[in-house]
This record gives sequence, C-alpha cells and structure tokens, in this order.
Amino acid sequence: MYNYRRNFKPMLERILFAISARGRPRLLEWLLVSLLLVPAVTAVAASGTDATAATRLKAAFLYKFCIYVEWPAASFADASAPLVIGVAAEKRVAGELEQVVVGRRINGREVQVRRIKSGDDIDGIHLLFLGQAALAAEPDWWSRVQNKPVLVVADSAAELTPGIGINFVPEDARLRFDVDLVVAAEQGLSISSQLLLVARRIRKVE
Amino acid sequence: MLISDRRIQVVTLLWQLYKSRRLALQGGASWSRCRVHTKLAMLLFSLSATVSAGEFDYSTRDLLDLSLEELASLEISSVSKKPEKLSSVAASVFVITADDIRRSGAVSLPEALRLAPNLQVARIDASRYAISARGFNSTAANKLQVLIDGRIAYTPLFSGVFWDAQDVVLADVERIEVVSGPAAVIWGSNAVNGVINVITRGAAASRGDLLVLGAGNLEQQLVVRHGGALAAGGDYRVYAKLFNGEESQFADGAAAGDDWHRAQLGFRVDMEVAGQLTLQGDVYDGREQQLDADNIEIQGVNLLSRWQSELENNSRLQLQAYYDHTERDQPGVFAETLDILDLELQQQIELGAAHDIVWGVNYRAAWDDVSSSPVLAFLPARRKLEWSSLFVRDEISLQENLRLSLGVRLEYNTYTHLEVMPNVRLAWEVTADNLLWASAAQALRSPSRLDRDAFAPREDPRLLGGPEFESERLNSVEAGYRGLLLPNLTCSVTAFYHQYDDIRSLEPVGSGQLVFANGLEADSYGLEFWGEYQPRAHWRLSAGGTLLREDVRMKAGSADLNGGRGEVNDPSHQWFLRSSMDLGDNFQLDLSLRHVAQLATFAVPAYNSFDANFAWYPTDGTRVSLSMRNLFDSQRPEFGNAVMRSEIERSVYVQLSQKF
Repeated sequence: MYNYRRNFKPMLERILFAISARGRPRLLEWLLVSLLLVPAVTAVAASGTDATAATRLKAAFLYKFCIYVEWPAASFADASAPLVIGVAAEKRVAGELEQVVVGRRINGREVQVRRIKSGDDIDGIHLLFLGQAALAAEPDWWSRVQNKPVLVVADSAAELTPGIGINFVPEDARLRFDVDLVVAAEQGLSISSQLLLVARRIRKVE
Repeated sequence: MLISDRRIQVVTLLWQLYKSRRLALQGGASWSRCRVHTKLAMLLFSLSATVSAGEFDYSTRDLLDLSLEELASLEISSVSKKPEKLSSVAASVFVITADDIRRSGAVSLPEALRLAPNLQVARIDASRYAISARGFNSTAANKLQVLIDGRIAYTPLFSGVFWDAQDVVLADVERIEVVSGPAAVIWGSNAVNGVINVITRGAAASRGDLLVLGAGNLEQQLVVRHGGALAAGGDYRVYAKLFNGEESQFADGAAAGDDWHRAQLGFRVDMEVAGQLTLQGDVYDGREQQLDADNIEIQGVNLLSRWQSELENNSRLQLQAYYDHTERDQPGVFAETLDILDLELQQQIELGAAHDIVWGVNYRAAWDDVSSSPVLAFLPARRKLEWSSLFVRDEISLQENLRLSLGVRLEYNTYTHLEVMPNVRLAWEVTADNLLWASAAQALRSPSRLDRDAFAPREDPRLLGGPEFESERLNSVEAGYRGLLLPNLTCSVTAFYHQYDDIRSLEPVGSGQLVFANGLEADSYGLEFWGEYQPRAHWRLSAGGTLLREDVRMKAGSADLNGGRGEVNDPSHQWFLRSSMDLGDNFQLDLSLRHVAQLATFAVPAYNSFDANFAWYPTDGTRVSLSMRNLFDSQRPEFGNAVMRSEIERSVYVQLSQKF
C-alpha cells in the first residue's frame, strides 16, 4: 500500500537530484541543449507581426456579427446598456477587439470586450467567442447558454456541436462560417439575412 | 496516404466530423448549402486575391470597414490546411477519445489501449504488458511504433516498449490514434504492424487546477495538475503523479511479490511564436519489487521542443527536437542507461490542386551503456546507434473522389545500412459518407541490440545475438470500408494479408549454442471491424473485434529451436460490446463485455471480461467514479507460461476527480 516515506520520498529526492546540476555539463550535454533550442530559436527568428491575419480576421468578423444579430430587448439592462462580447481562450483575438471597439457604437450601444476563463460567470454577455481550447477544455459550454440570448461563436467546432450559433470554418485558405438558425431561434436571437447571404452553410428551422 | 502528417493531426478534424455525424442524427436537421452566392462573392473578389497573393495585411481597424462578403473572401494562410473527413483516411485507424478513456475507468495507459479493437493487449503481471497489433505479440513485442506527443517510446534495446516506463496523466490525453497495419513512410521503420500515437491536450486546454485521487485493490494514484496563462503569452501546465500498483498473484493465490510504485513530474508550454511553439518534458522514477531479486529501478528524463508554422503557398513546416534519457536496472539481468537524441524537419506543401506532398528528414541517435550480469550481456556494452531517414509522400487527386497516394521512406541505420519502405494507397469516396480504400506496403523492423549483441549467459554463452541478423520484412496488402450505414450507425471493416520474411529464429549452431537468425517466414490474414450505433441521444452502443490467422514456417535451412512458435502468442479472435449511457445530467453508466480467445502457444485459456464503470457528477468540476473490472472471475491469466505466470485479479477502484 501507499507509503510515502518508504516509497515516494526517496523517488522524489532522486528526481530532484536528476534535474539538478551534477557538475559541469559535458560537451554532449551542451550540444543537446543547443539542438533542443533549434525549434525555439527558429520560431523567434521567424516571428515579427503580433496578431496573425487569422486573428485579425476573426476579431473583425465577431464585431461584424454584432451588427447583423438582434438580441431581445430584455438582454440589455436599458436602452444605453453596452453590448458585451465575451472571448474565451483567445487572448489575441480579445486584444485586437479591445483595441478596435474603442469609440465605436452598434445601434447606439457601446461595445465592451470581456475575457472569459473556464468557469467564469457569463451573465450579461451577448456574443461569446469560444476558442478551440475553451471548447476542448469544457465541451459542455452549451449547457450554460441554453435558452439564453447568448450567441456562441466557435472556431472550427465539430458540426452540430450543441449550442453553437455561428461556427468559423476554414475553407480554401479563407475563413468562412456556418450559421445554425435552430440554435439561434431557441435562444431568441434574430439573425439578419445579410449575414446569412455570406454564410457557407445554414441549418434552417424545419 | 493515411494520416497525411502525424503532426498536422488531421485525424482530430476527421474525428470531430465523425463525432458530429453522431450528433447530427439527434436533431434530424437539414443543412442547405449557399454555394451560389459564395461563388459570386469569390468571383467578385478573386481579383484582389490574385493581386495580394496570399495573406492580406489589413489591420483589424481596416477590416471593420470591409463588408462581410469581403471578409469572407480574404485569404489567410494559417487556415489553408483543408479539413478532411474521417471517411477519407485510407487506413485502419481507430481513435480512442478523451471521453472514451474517462468513461472506461482506465487508470493506466496500457489499460486505456484495451479500448482499441485493433490491438492485442495482454497484462503479464503488475507492471508489464504485451501489446501488439495484427499479432506477433510477446513480452518483447517488437513490431509496433509507439509515440507519446511525438516522442518515440520503444527502446532500441529490443525494439519494444517498456510499458512501466511510459506514463501520462490520462486526464490530459486528448486522444490516442491507433493505426493497425504498416505505416512506415510517415512513422518510421518500426511501424510494421501498427502505430500507437498518444496525443495530450495543448496547455491552453488544461488551465486551472486538477486533483485526481483514486484507490482500489490493484492500484492507487494521486495526480495534481496546475495550468495557467504565461505573462509572456501562451499557456503552461505542470503536473505531478504518484502511482502505486499492488502485487499480482499466481494461480494458486500465492503473492507474486511484484508490487511497484512510480512518481512522475512534467510540464508543457504552448505559445504562439510565428506559429505554434511547444516545449514539454517529464521526469520519472519507479521501483518494482521482485520475488527473488532486488528491486527493479527505472528512471528517466525527457525534453521536447516543437515548432509548427504556416508558410506561404499553402505550406506547413515543422521542426522537432527531443532528448530522452532512460535508466533501467534489473538486478540479476542487466542495467542500462540510454540517451536518445531525435531531430526532425517536416514540410507539407500543396502543388497545384492535385498534389498534396509531405516530406521530411529525420536523424536519431542512441547512446547506450548496458551493464551485464552473469545471466545476460550486451557486447559491446556501450554502443551508438544511428538512424537517418528521408521520406516523401504525394497524395494525388485523380478525380474529385479518387485519391492515389505514393510514398517512400529511405532509412540508413547502423546495423543494416540502407532500407527502403514504399507504400501505395488508393482511396475512393463512393459517396460523401462512404469510403473504400486499399493499400500495398513494404515495412521492416530493423535489428535491435538484442538481435545483434546479446550474450546469455555472459560466460560461455549458449544464446548469442546474430552478427548477421537482418531486418525483418513485411509485404502487406489491405483493403477496407468505412462509413455511415445508417444515419446513426457507423462502421469500419478492414481485411489484410501480411507476408513476413526474415522473422527472428533461434538457430542451433555447433557446440550447443543458439544464435538469433532470420530463419522464419510467416503469413497472416484477418479482419478488423468496429462500429457504433446511437439509438438515443444519451445512449451509445459500440462493438468491435479482430479475426487473425497466423502461419509461421521455418525457411529452408532453419532449425528454429521453437519450431517457429516463439514469436507469436495471439488469440485467433477477440471482440467487445460496450454500452455508454447518460443517466440524466449527473450520472454515466458504462458496461462492457470483452472476449479474448485462448493463446495456444502458452495454453492461456479464453476469457470474458465484464467491466462496469459508474460516474457521478455531483457538482460542476467534480467527478466521482466507481470502476469494476473482471467481474466474472476472481482472477485470470492473460499471458505467459503456466509455470509461474501472474494472474489478473478482479478489481474495484474508486476515483475522485476535482477541478478548481
């Protein structure tokens, strides 16, 4: 059975010893370390721009979606309450959005960006962007937005993942999106036909 | 070919699409395509696309001034990899998902592998397993390529895996891809009978804290994991895992004295640096008791870095380097220290509309130092082995629904020098949901230290490694179908025929000595099949199995000590049935029945294993589960000679998993 002192303490000590320095590294060890750094160094050398084109494009789409979606009046505290975009697991997209929403209004409302972590309260959010990591970490996000007026936008989620209103889909080097009107209808959201015209695929209410 | 590039992880997408089909049947929804308008939009903006040729450089602020149509027509290179459907992979691939692992109640990696119908998994004792695909299973099974996050897990000592040394936090595994059949072009020279590819989640998907506490009559474990965002951008996780395995017992109930324990620490960092940069590493230490000798001691450290980036012109680049240090001391048998360095460059590039090319170069070096015992020696005791390889695979779209894939790997290794591994695959998408595929391949297992350099006993040896031992070879043909039979019924069937040559034999030479040689040849053929049926949204039934016939023969001039029976210990058939049910929102019940036919070589009787797993989610982030395995029998043997073989006991295991 479990015996910390007999079984595990010596092991942990050996592990710590193994990763602590054992004298001067030999040539081979230096070589190994430098080779391991090759991918990292290449990556840094190749980096330049901050946000990738895809990040900027996603941010732009999210903002645009807010223009073409109508939320029930009850989802706003009052006529001047802000429209809130929640972004989960996509810090760069959130960063881009935060910069561009400053001073912009949609239907007279200010636009706010809120960064969401798994488990955070999502009350008051109108559009929720779930990065792939967020969806992977918490596949049942949908249960938290079910029948609430929250448009969930996902990034390359599996088709018909529950609760996803709009799904970004890469297609031929372009970023397209699918719209699920069944989900939108359940949530009391109304999506303009202008947005539907650009959608790649639409799931319609039967 | 098959998974067009193991790092590009197309299979994820395939699996998502596949899973989506399962869900699709719940709503009975209909999708309508809006092609016409799209084409119009594309036409309108094709001009600007040609001018800008590749990535646009608008700022986000500028983008807001464009129309939706304009946004939809902009080119971004980082999404250029077109998603494929599961039905388009031309190979026998089974994917074990994170959900499958969770619902199975598996506590260790080998136990999770039992979920793959196309693997033979047999537990030998408390800490050891025999795992293979398409037969040739043994305690030192050697025809399987096994990778954990891109790091090769098999040892050049005997071309097999020490399963006690390979561990992961199962809660952080995203999926395990199991390919049966040769896949040497992409995966390397040991991928003769199959590939196991364990892929853990990116660090961004394991934020927050996790505590897993589990205890049962066969094992106990404690896992602590912490994940978060780095100030400099990116995400990280660190974990610690303590594991304790109870001793197994012999048929007469006597204790086998092989209880063991293990501690492992590890980390993973993912960040965006002109692409995706991953750094990860583990360090572990384990002790395994033995009845009549001192403890086996295992230790290791590994460190891996990988950078993947999208380049212009629909091309994708990956650089990977890792260092893997392992130590194993088996008192009375041998002690080994092994250092492995592995470097790989891989590029995927699309040429025109018809050619999807993956090519890469790999260099791998292993330095080992094996201390001998009176029983066994490896000579020379220190040896450097090297493998250099170049591979290329071109997937050609002959027609819209017909793809031909041509691939070859050239490998140069220390023992046998140049080896060539070609592969041709054909995939025909009969309809969007139904695929027929066929493949012809040559693969090989290059010699290990055991085959060439072993001496037993050390003084006046009676068993010797063969200085002339060559690679074992496989010619294979296989064909399969995968698709949707009904909207809620998926199915996969593969038939294969393998022809092996130069399989390892033990040849008597003068003066009573035995030498490893390539004296055997073999044929094997069989069927692999599995399917899933989802009668209700909350209820899934799955089934699968294999049929396998193996015929091993001595070649002319061979006088193999075992008469050709030393390398195969496989069930002629095995199957499973599984029911996965959600009981309301907070309970899950999984039941499975698994049958494994007898192993004739060892006279291991056939067995049925009935396993049940019950999980309760009392609150968000908390999971309590009760797993019971082998409910039918108090204990059963799964592998090995009747004399002194361990048996696997019925097990009951309770686990609490808490996210913070």
